[in-house]
Amino acid sequence: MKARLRTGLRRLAWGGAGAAAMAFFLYPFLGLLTPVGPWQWNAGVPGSTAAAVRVSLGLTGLAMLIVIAAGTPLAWQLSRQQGWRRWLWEAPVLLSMLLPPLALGLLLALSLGPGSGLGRMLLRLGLETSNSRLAFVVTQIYVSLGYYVIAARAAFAGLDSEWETTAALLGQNHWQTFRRVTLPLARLGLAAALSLAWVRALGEFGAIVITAYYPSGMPVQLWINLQDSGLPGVMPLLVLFLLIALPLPWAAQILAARRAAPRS
Amino acid sequence: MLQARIYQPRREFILDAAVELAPGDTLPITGASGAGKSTLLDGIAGIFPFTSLSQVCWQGQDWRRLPLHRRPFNYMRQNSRLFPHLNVGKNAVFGLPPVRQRSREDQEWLEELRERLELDAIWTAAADEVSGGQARRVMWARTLARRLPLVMLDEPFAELDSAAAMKLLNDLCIWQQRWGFSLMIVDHDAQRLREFSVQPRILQAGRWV
Amino acid sequence: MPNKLSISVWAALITLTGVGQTASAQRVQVAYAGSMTAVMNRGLGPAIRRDLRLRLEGRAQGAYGLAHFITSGAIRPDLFICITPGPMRIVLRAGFARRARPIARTQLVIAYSAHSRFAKLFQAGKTAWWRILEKPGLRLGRTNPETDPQGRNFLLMLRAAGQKLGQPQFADTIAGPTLNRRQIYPEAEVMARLQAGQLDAAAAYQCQPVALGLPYIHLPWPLNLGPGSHRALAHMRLRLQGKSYRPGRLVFYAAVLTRAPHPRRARRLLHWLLRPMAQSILHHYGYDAAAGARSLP
Repeated sequence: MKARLRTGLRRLAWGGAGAAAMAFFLYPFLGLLTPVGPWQWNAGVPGSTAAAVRVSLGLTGLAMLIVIAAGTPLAWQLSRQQGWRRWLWEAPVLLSMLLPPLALGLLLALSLGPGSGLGRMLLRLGLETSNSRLAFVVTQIYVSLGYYVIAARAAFAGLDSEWETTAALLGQNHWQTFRRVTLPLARLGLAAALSLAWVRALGEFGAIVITAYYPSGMPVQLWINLQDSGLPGVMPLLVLFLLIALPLPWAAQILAARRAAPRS
Repeated sequence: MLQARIYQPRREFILDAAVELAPGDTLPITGASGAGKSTLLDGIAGIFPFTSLSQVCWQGQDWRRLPLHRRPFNYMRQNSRLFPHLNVGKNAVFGLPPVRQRSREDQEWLEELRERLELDAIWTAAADEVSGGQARRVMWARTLARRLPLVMLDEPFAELDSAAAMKLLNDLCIWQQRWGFSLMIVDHDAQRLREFSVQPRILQAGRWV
Repeated sequence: MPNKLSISVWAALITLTGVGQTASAQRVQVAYAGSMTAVMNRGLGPAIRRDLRLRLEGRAQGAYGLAHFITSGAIRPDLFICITPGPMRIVLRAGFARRARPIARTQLVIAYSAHSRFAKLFQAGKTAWWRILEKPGLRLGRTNPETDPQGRNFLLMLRAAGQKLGQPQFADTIAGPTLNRRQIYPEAEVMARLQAGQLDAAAAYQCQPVALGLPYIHLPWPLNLGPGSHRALAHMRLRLQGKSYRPGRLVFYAAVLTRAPHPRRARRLLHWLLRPMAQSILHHYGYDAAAGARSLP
């Protein structure tokens, strides 16, 4: 009886703490209930909301493909490094995450913009490096790659090296081992890393407002709407942003968690 | 012909053992736990970098120059486990090329393994749905599916009851005669190893007795 | 392994998103003060597209920040539009523009929230504006006078009003300390909080409440910093961090930048901004004509 009471109390305490944490996370959304007047679904230029959604989804999607392609091998490499070598290799990755977004935007604009050597060269090739899709994607990759790499590195490092040895003993070379064993076993961690990178890139504002005010993704469009029509123009976009940003992390987690379907 | 000498310092002792094994021959190894049996097999396989005093030669070829996945042996390690993300069947064929590239002989051999190891019923089961004994039999199939000239088995009968173990042991002898592979087999149960025509060698504190 | 499928997915994405786009689109890039966002997006942008066949790509931020972005080379727009001569002088002195033309002007007003319990007082128009601001409990919003000209102009206006009313303490009573934490918000946020009813009243340029549909009241000349007011208030000074400020001219200046990627488009746009079509749009959005204001330098 006493034991049951105690487990009951413990469960209540855990439940309470969990509920409090959830309430904390959800609390700011009460702001959506503020009476700010009728919401304007198309503040600013008509069609700007649709354009911002398109830009955010398309270009962030592209950025994520590049982040996966470039970040996965790098993260795997990092997970194999030991001691000072590891710190040496990780330092630039951490540096990219450490910069305040505004500072990063300035540095990117100065080093890649039309005033820089590289920017001039690309401009001669017809590629604009400021206020362009290219600038948008490059900025998103820069801000999210570090998050992806660090999280993916942890996912790889958490794997028992026994699996890779077993695969090698069964005649699999490095690439086959990576594709058939390492990747699938790390997929949950990799999905979490991708979610992190996606959220980071999609919500990026500080750096992108400098390097790629155009094409305006959703965060910049939020800013434009705020200056254009104030809160009634911001609220709808905010809701839309949440609706659009959430599915990918969920889908990634669900797909990754699904076991390899048995096949005869 | 396998000519090996493994020199590997351990915490309690130094493993220092030489092995010579002619094609088709068997080397049963026994000894108390912690005597260095697994270290010896790991050392021959070269799972950890060879120490400078170690030497492994197969048909005159130095294994230092061969990456792990290209060395011509099948090795079932003591703590082998099934890949958790693959079902039983996929685990069993893991070392084989895709179906379309498999030779007819490979495929027939696989079918035989599947039948002798009684894997049919569990072929599509998930790796974590099978019992310990079943998992062990899947590992047998996974290890032997690639027909290579040297087979190393470390405690291959663990988790199997003695009847099943005896049956597998008999099969192993038949397969060895058919394929002609050299065999190194480690078992803490010296009695079982007497089934082989060769006297088991005993390892104690890193040296042959 | 890169197979045909993944290659075609990449190709599709790159085409779809147009990352490899070239600089062929007829666009003109304008960096302008944040308070102009509404007129640019909804008023001038569509008209520019129709009349000049140019796509307006604006960048709305604080004018001083933009001036520094331009002179550092971080951004390279075609045209720069700012309010008050200050930011423009930075660009002119650094040699990034040769001449700035006045295109419009605005005036200082007091915007108020329709949700406020003081809204009726403002609306009735029977109580003097300064009496309402003095009411206890009124939540006033303004921008940071150290970084934003509007914040400085508002403080200068309060002091000038104090002199006129013979109440030397007036400005301090209303605004409190120069950096009053309870009143100071970023520019865009002041208006947002007013809309949300978190502030009762705020300093604003007339164009801001007009664009947002917020109610506001006029201030008497020369406190509204209207035409000629900088002479009438020439004696006013605000000292902040060792610098001395005078009331600004609430004039919008536009300048073609010397490093503009599309200087011809920028010049066409600037001329168009001075023509009646553009001026009537500006007027509709709460801007006054810049008559009497001189070009810089």
